[in-house]
Amino acid sequence: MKRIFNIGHFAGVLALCLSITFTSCNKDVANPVAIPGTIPISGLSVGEMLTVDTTYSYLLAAITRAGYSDAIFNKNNLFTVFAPNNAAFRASGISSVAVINALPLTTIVPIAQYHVIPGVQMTAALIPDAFPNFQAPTLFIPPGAPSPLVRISIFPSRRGTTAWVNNIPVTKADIYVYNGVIHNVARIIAPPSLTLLNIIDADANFSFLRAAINRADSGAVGMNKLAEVLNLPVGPNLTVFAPDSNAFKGLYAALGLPPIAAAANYLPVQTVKAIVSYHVLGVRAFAANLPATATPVATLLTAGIPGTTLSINATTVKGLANPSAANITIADNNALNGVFHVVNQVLRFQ
Amino acid sequence: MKKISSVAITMLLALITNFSFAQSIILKGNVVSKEVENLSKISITVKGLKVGTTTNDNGQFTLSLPSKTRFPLTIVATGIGIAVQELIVTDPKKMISIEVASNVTMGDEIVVSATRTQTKSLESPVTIERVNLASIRSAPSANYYDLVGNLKGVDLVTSSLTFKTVTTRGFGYSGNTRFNQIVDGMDNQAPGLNFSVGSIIALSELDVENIELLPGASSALYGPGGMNGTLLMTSKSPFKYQGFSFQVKEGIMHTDSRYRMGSPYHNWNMRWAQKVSDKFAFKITSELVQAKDWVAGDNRNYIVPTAENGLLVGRIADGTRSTDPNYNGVNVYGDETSVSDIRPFLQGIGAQAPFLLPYINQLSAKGAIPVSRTGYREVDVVDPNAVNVKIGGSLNYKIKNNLELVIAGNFGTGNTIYSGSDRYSIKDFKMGQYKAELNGKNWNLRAYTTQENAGQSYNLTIVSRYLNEAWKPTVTFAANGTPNPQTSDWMLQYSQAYLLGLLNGKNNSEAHNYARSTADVGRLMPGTTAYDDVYNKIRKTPISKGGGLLVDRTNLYAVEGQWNLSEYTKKFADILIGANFRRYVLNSQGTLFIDTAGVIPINEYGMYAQAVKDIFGGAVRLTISGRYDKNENFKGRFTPRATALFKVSPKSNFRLSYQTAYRFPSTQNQYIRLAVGGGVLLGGLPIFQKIYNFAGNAPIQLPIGTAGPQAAKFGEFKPESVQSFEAGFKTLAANDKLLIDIYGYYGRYKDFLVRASVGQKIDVNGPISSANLKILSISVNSPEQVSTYGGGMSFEYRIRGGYFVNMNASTDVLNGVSTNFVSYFNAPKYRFNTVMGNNGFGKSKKISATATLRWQDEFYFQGDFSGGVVPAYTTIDAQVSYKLVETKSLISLGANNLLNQYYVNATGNPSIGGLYYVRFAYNIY
Repeated sequence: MKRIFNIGHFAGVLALCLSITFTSCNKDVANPVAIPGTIPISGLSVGEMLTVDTTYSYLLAAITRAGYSDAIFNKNNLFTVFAPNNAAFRASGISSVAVINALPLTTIVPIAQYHVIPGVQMTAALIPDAFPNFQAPTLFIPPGAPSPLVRISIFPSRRGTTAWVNNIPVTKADIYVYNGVIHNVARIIAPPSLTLLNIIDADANFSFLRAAINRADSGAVGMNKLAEVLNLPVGPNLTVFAPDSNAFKGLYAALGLPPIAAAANYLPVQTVKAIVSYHVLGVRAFAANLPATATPVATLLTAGIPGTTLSINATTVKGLANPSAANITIADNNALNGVFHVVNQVLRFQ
Repeated sequence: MKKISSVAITMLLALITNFSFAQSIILKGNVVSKEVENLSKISITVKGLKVGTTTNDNGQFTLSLPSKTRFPLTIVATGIGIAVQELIVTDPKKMISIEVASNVTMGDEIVVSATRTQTKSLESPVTIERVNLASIRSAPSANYYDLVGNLKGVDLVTSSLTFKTVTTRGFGYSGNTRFNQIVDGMDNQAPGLNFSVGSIIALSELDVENIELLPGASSALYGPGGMNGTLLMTSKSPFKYQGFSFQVKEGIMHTDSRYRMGSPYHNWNMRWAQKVSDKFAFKITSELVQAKDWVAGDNRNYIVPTAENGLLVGRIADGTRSTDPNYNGVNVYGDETSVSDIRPFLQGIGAQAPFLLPYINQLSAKGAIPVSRTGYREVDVVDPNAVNVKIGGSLNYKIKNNLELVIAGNFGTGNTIYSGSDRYSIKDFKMGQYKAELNGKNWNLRAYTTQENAGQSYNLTIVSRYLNEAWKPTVTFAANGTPNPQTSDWMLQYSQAYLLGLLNGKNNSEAHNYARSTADVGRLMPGTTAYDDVYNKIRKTPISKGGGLLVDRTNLYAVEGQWNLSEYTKKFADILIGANFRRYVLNSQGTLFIDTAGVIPINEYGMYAQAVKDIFGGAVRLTISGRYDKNENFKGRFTPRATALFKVSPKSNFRLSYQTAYRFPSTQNQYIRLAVGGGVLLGGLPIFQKIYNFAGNAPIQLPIGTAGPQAAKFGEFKPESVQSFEAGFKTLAANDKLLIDIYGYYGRYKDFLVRASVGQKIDVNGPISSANLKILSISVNSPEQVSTYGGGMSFEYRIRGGYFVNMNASTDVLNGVSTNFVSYFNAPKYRFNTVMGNNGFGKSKKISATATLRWQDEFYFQGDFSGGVVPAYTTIDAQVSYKLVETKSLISLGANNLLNQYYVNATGNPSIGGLYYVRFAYNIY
């Protein structure tokens, strides 16, 4: 025993123990592990896709000019882009990149912003196949908005495998990029700038309608006035079937009233209010969103008088008391607070 | 302390004048040796008498005996590094010469705690570990308490540089309540906070004579609590160890600046003991430790159990602050405040901005969006100063030859950190233990008190959460308790900014980060006056009043006595009897305990007896012990112990033992009422069921299982207990140079004290839902029975030339636990220690060196605060010393965790790095 434990061996044992220590590294507390994002990190970004595919050069120019060129390359961003290709730009009347670059920023920035739903990869499957469409915010903040949360909406819709944005057909859906998704559209989607009331006021053909609105609003205050709601840029989301002046004249003739705008004043306020409300839907329905076959649709009046629906199909609208359906003569005038269709009859529920 | 000092001086004067000239027989002699060089400070005592002295530098001594002393008598020489030597003296007039040998017979060390009587360690009937003076002196440790961690079967949990908890046989956690720590006969457990404070309020290093460790069940002798072991620390008698000594250790820590900038470590020790006369001696001791504490920097994500996730204990999960909006870092505080779903906030925004509603609805369809507040890292919020001041002393007066009165006290204060249900900054904590003790020839009587004051201790989690609320409320609630979000609320601002982030084109993760940075604008930052003002205000406000302060001035008063009847019963057996009484006085002013109406007293008493008998001509020694304890809140308990020691050969013993042990629910188990993050911690006494109207509003079990809500059931609340079997073998081999000790044990635990989470409806007529459930965490006994087994062995080898090698390895295993039971077993399956060194190199033997190596296996730690894998680790400590013989001094250079390899020994606790020090010590012996 004594020999085994001589000093030389002792030193050896010591060296062995030390070497165990030197070769072993303690694990200090591990660092926290990041959770990987759900967005695949391979593939092209929106920016890269628009660069690589030169049929998007007009759109890229528009986005660049609007100041979003960095944003669309950033993998920490997420965009759903409705992308008009160069042909779509030309079909919309913009013939070259030079034209885009010549447009004032006040024009091109809202256009670029209006084609993008931010913060979401909204594939076609996520767009509901239901009347009328899906209201989605865009990058476009209306001038004078009280909060950056206030956004001008865009309205993608889908019926089976066919999709639209507002009234523009989607020509190719679901082009995946790692920071979003691109859907090709047939035209530029023009951002709205007017309210429904602005549209009514701007055209003498709707002076009868305007007079009826005034009559309906008589005695009302604030948001109880239809005119106020129709002029509110943010919040309401409506469809107006606007009878033109001839349509009103037809009505007044039937009622034995003179064919003038002021004839509305001969009718009781409540009656006029009910008639006007019967022309407004509480949702925004572009023509493409309207049912293929005649279907009853609730109006603003329905809440007050149950059952007062309109029977609507893709091209016509029929009131309950109208002997025949009215034709939609001009469709899809998109306003800030709704969409404006012109009809050739006043719609009547009684 | 002022009081004690003035008492000391008064007594000192009184005793000097009265008792200096009472002796008559003077024995003179000297100690000689062929092997031992230093013959000073060898203790000379007379068997059966309370007299003694120590040798001078030349080995000479003078012993005064009472005039009536009868001869022959036996003189005993004991000292460090020498074998105990007895000599029979027949003629008082003759010069005595005792020859002593170097202490190579290792099994001859005397241990007391195994049987409460003096026994050679080789003949201890249960496993016992001992740290003696020599090993404390040569230990390569910045703090002597760490030495215990090198004993076999021992686990240390380090919650602070100055707060270490010793555990054996599993179930280790910071402030272990299943392990007794006894300092000079006084239970060292803080009576209100329930943790033993041996590492902060006990003996100063220079006053420690020895430490004995009894692994395993030991309450048959030491009373309730010692289920897993008992640690006994004994101080130096001022009669035996005299003079002035001091020691200064100056070191550096955080040398790599990983968690903090490099900083100094100070550890100063002083002891002064004086024998004023043969009858009177006193001592004063003190220790100061000051350093920048280790940092708990586990920033991993932690999922806490909730009613929704159905977890029994929390777990570490993936996720960082920037990749998990609901991140809750282990050592990040304040981020425990979480809203389990911000979708209602988003819906609220949608109600005001209808054009966003479809978008928000689509977002909401993906599921709940949980979000937590932004927390603060421990390193930023906790007082970095670990401070520990210990002051102690004793007055020892020999009333008669065989009767000594000891009045002693230990007081400690400081800053440290404790890991309980949360991390607690134990700030300006004060605890004093004061005793009066009478030691007769074969009896002793002791009265002591533990006076605790939690000082400015506070809960880091709670303070950080309130800090966040004070700066910006998470959600405002209406008077009726329903959420009433305001635009000034953090969570509403977050929700708005999250939505805005998305609307600005950020992806989900970036939108969350944007939301956080937006809601956090102007957040109180550590290091600013604004932060300090709010933080200090909250930490100084009691928990019950919406702050984080623990108010606790709970005290313990105890009286105990022991009488060795062997003198009268030795024909039949050696018999020992004892009894004790304890009175706890809970005083937290309603902040920790349910003592709003006044202090709560708890009385407890116990008695024990032990009989030792040698049979078969001394070949077998049987010991039978039994103990009965009664706590006023619980039924009485009897605990037996039986041991047998088989003397296989003069130097080999085989031991067998059976013991039971139990512990009464701690004062907190009984009476706590503390609101913490997830709910309210409640004691288990039936009174709580009345106060919380369980009869009228029956709580349900949490988590809610697949069978739906079940009413919670409460059985009798009772002590937990263990039955333990142990076998061991101890032998001296290789010419008495090799001591081998082997043990194995099996333990069966039942009635574990655990906490059960139950949910009680806030509105008794409302639905069972998270929003309508108040979570109560109640102390109960688990129906689960678990068993543990393990074993270990050690080799202590003395090699020629002063070299020694000690090695030990041990294992602890938990057996048969069902998967849905959380046992908090917390022990590595294997651990290994080795200590090697030389007590004196070279011709003059002035240089000595010691190195220790500890390795322990990976294990899964479970705790109330956090749980997770504790990786295996190895540490190495080393110290080299040089003796300056002429000036009785010692200079050392030492390192703890020499290689600066950071490790943790329990999750959520600090990473321990290297500590390097130099020591200068004067007159330590």
